[in-house]
Amino acid sequence: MFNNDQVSSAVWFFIGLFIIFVSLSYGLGSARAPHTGFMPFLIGLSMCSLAIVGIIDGTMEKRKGIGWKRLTEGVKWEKPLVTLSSLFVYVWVLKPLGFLLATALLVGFLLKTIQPQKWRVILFGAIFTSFFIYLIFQVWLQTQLPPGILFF
Amino acid sequence: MDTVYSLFNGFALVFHPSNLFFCFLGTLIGTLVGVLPGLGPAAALSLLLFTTTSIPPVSGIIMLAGIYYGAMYGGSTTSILLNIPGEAASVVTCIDGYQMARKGRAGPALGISAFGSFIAGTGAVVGLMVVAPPLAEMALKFGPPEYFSLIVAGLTLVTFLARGKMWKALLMATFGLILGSIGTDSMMGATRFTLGIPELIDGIGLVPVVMGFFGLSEVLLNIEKPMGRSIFETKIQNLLPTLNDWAHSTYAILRGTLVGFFLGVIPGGSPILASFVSYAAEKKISKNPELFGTGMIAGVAGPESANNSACTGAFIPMLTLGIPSTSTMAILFGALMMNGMQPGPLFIKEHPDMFWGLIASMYLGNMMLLALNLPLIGLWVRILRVPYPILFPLIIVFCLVGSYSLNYSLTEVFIMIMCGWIGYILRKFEYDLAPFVLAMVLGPQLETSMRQALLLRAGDPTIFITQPISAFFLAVALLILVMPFIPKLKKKFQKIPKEEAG
Repeated sequence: MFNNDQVSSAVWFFIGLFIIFVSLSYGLGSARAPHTGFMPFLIGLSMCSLAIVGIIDGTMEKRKGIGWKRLTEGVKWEKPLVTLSSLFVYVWVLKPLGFLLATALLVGFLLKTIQPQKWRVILFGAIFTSFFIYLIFQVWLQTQLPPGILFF
Repeated sequence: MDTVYSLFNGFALVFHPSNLFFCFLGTLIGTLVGVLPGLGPAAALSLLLFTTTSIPPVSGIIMLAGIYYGAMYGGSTTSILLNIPGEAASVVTCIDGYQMARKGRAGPALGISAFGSFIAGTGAVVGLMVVAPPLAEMALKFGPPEYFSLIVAGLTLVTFLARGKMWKALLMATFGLILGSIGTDSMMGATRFTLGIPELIDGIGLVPVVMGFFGLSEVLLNIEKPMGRSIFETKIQNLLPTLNDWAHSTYAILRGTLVGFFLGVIPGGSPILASFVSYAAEKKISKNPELFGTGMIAGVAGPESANNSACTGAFIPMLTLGIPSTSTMAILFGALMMNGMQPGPLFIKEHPDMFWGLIASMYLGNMMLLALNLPLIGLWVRILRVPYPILFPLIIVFCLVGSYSLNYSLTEVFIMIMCGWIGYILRKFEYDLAPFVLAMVLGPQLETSMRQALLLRAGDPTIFITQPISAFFLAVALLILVMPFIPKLKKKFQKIPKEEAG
């Protein structure tokens, strides 16, 4: 089993390789006249080199007994997962439902699921937050928030 | 005489009711951010970055700057009363501040940290006013090779002082550089890494990226941990320090001001580093070093002064050289760019109103902060009781609407969420985000400087080492890169306190 540094470095190495290949397709030009791909190519190369340093460092640490450290250890990992999922749903429903309704539902959902609150706190939090943000953005900063089914 | 005249103009600008209001709002939000653990100045600035396009630019920048230095004031409150730093630069204040609270001296601890912050903040503004204009004049002599090397040295210094392993910090810098290169190549007109998304043709927006990396990822990290906190129950009285307290604190405040200012000017020399250096210095100078950690007032006065002074000092490289020295400064740099102002040697000449207005607002802001932090301390303590589980949905909605409001684009909201997720994963793998944001902001300038320098000498790369100033900056960068490998310096390097991303 690889340790965290080895794994993350390997990911960076492949990202660096991808950048190098894409940069080549843009054209490197020459030092006299560098093209669009010149800088990204150098960055990709640096990324791969640093990733190799990371893999070596991770391997040396593994020899010292530092193994894979579970990222979910001692934490409630499902909370960030639920939050992120709800945000993707929010993006999906924002325009059809409108800002006020979508935001109130999101806040209510987060208050209910992440660390469950009493219903009156959830209701107050959902209504207060959505109207507070609405007042700041729509009324004060003149941002055009999606009206959706509530028409304002 | 010019300076006095310009400063008066700055004050005239700040006393405009709208600027006065935004200065007050900034210091108020800053104190709130400092008081509330789990929300740092970088995250707060990223949440409010978009507002600078909706309100007059001068007001917007005055407000963002107020949040930054205001957070330094507020950070001490939680350190003293909760033993939890409100923001990273107040970590060291916990040591003696909390002990003072336990001994029933929370009042003088809060009082001296507010007074120390005020003295240091005002002193550093004087320093900024005196040092920035001549430094900008000097930097006018810089050409593309000097700029390229200066950015390389600045980025290297920031990665050197970043949290965790140096190769990780350098990887984050390359990641920032590649994100900064997305969009249209300014010299050739071709597009790069846009993945066919029209919103990316002008580059990836700074607002959704920093909101995701600093705002959302911080929330995700906070909610996965237990969210309870308990306030040390003590009666806060005698906020005005006694003569004896002043006798023990005056020199600590003055030393903290100087140390903080000089460390703030150095790229990577964050307020947190300044506060640790100040604490170490006070302990070393003290006749009773063994009493540090038991509630010594100098252990509160010195670091609190240093972090305020450093945060003002950090404006110097950003405004005069165009090199932000911390992640928070990089966001302020982005705010100026978004409003069509390029920080750098010409900034003071091209935007004197902005520069002198900002300076004047800092004088005024420091006075406002003193008024906010001393008589209203009871209010901040009450705010501390607002539980994080109720607060975090508000932060999330700010991130969502803030990233949407710039271009009314759901793609940018999606980018913000993705950045929040990536930032969360990166933090779990112990990658520091500060070098990332600095590199992303400076990347386009780094590339332009490099290509212009190469064009100047028909592709001869020796231009970077034959120009003396450029060679000096590159030598500094090389020295920094080599330092961790020298065994004697390696141990010292590991002891340096690092800046937290948020």
